[in-house]
Amino acid sequence: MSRMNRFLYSLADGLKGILRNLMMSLMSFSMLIGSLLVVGSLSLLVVNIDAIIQDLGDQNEIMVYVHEEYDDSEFNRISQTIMETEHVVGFTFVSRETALEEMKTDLEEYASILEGMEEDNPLRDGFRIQVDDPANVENVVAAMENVDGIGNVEARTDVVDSFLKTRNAVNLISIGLMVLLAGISTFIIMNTIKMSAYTRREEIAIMRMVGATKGTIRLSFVTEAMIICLCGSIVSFFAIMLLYQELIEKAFSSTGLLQAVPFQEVWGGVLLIFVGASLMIGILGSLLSINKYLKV
Amino acid sequence: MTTNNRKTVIEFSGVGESYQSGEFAIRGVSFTVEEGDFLFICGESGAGKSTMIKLMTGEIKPTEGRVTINGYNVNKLKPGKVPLLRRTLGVVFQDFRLIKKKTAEENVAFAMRVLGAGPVQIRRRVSYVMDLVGLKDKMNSYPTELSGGEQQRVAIARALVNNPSLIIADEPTGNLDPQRSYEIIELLSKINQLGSTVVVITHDYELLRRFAKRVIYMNQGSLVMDKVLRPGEEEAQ
Repeated sequence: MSRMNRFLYSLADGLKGILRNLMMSLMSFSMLIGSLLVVGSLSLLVVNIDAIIQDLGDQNEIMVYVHEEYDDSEFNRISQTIMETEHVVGFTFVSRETALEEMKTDLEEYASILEGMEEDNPLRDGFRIQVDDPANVENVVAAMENVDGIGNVEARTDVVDSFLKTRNAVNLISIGLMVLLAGISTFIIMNTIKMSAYTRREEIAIMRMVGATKGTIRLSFVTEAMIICLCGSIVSFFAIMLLYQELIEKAFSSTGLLQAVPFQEVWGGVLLIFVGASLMIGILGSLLSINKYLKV
Repeated sequence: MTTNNRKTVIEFSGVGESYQSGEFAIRGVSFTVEEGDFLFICGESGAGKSTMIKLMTGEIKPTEGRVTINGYNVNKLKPGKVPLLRRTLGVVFQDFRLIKKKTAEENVAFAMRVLGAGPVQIRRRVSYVMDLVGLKDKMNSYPTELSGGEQQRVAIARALVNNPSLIIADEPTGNLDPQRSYEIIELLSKINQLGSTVVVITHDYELLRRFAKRVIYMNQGSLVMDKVLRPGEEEAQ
C-alpha cells in the first residue's frame, strides 16, 4: 500500500511539475514532435523504397524473351541450354498468355486498358531464370544473349541498383538525423527537468530530510518527463498517419503505377518506435538532470 | 544499547570530523543521550554545532570515533540506508523551511505523503499534531499569512508528524523574538514530556537559564561542558 501511495504521489507530482513549467514542457513537447515527424517520414520513405524494390522483382531474377521467329519446337533446346548455363539454379516458362495476365494483375484498376488484347497478344513467350547470386547476374545475362532463339534479356539490376543506392542514402541520412534529433530532444528534456527540479529544490531538500529515498524523488521527475514524451509520441503518431494517408498515399496512387505501402500495414511498427524512442529520451533526460539535487 | 531500561538514542564516542585541509571541525567529542532526554547544545559560531547535526542526520561520516543514532551506526551507514535513519528523526530549522505554495496543513502532510502514507492516516495524524502545536485553526493558512512563531510551530508539527523518536532543532528560535522563542522551547519541552527525545542547538543563553535542562557546551570543536543546569544557573564559559 505504501509503495502504491508513493507511486501515485509521484504521478500526481509529475503532472503538477508539467503545469508548473508549462512553457518549457511545451517546448520539449514540440521539439519531440518535430523530431519524430522527421525521422518517421524518412523511415516510411525507406519502407516504400523497399516495397518498390520488391515489386521490381527479385534481384536474383532475369527475364529472357524468345525471338520473334521462335516456334514451340525450340522449347526443349532453349530450356536445356538455360539449365546448363553456369549459376542458373532454376527457371520457369512464362507463356505470352500468362505474361498478359500478370500485367493485368500489376495494373490493378487500370487493367481494363489491356482488355481485348488476348486475340492479338503482342507479348512473347519467355523464361524467368533464377540466378544463384546477384553478383552472377551479369554473367548469366551475357550467356543468354548468345543463345540462339532468345530475342532479348531483361535484368532490372540497373533500376534496382539505383533504388538500392537511394534507399541506402536515405537510411544513412535517417540514422544521422535520428542520432542528432535524439540528442537535441534529450538535451531539451534535461533542461526542462532541471528547471523543474530547481523550482522545487526546497521540496526536494525536505523530502531528503524526512527520509524519502532518491528513487522516490527521482520518480516524480521521471514521470514528468515520460508524460511529456508519451503525449508527444501519440500526437506525432496521429500527425504522421494523417500526413501519410492524405499526402503520400494519394500522391502515389495518382501516378497510376505505384502504390504506397498502406499505413495500416506499418502503424504497429511506427507506434512502437515512436513510443519506445520518446520514453527512452524522457527517462534518460530526466535521470541525467536530477542527480545534482539529490545530495543532502 | 540501554541503560536503566532507557534506550540510548545518541552516542558520540571520541568523535572527530576534519576538513579536507586537515583542520578539525570537532575533535574528541563523547556523550550519550537517552530516550526521553532533553538536551541543549550550545556554543558560539564555529564551535562545531552544525557539524554535530550533520553527523546526527547522516549527512557526513565522522573521520574519527563512532556515532550511533537510534541504533544506526553512522560510520558504516550505506547511502541507501540514510533515508531509514532520517525516518527516525524530526528536524526543525532556524529558517522554518516551509513550502510557500502549500498551506500549513499541506506542509505537514507533505512529510507523510512522500513516505507513502494513505490519505486517511495523513488526515488523522496531521490534525493531531496541529492541535498539539496549537494551530488547529490555522490549517488552511499559507506560511506568508503566519507569524514567525506560528511558522516555526508548523515546522515542529512537520517534524513530529512521522512520529520520530528524536527531534533535532537547529537554532529554532534564531529568527524569533524572546517571547516567541520562549514559547517554542516550551512547546518542545511539552513534546519531550510526551516521550520524544529532544536536542536543541542554540546560542541563546537566556533560554538555557530559563529552562534548566542538560547542556553540552562546545568551544572551538571541543566539548567543554556537559551538565544539567539548575534553574537560573549561568552556564560555565
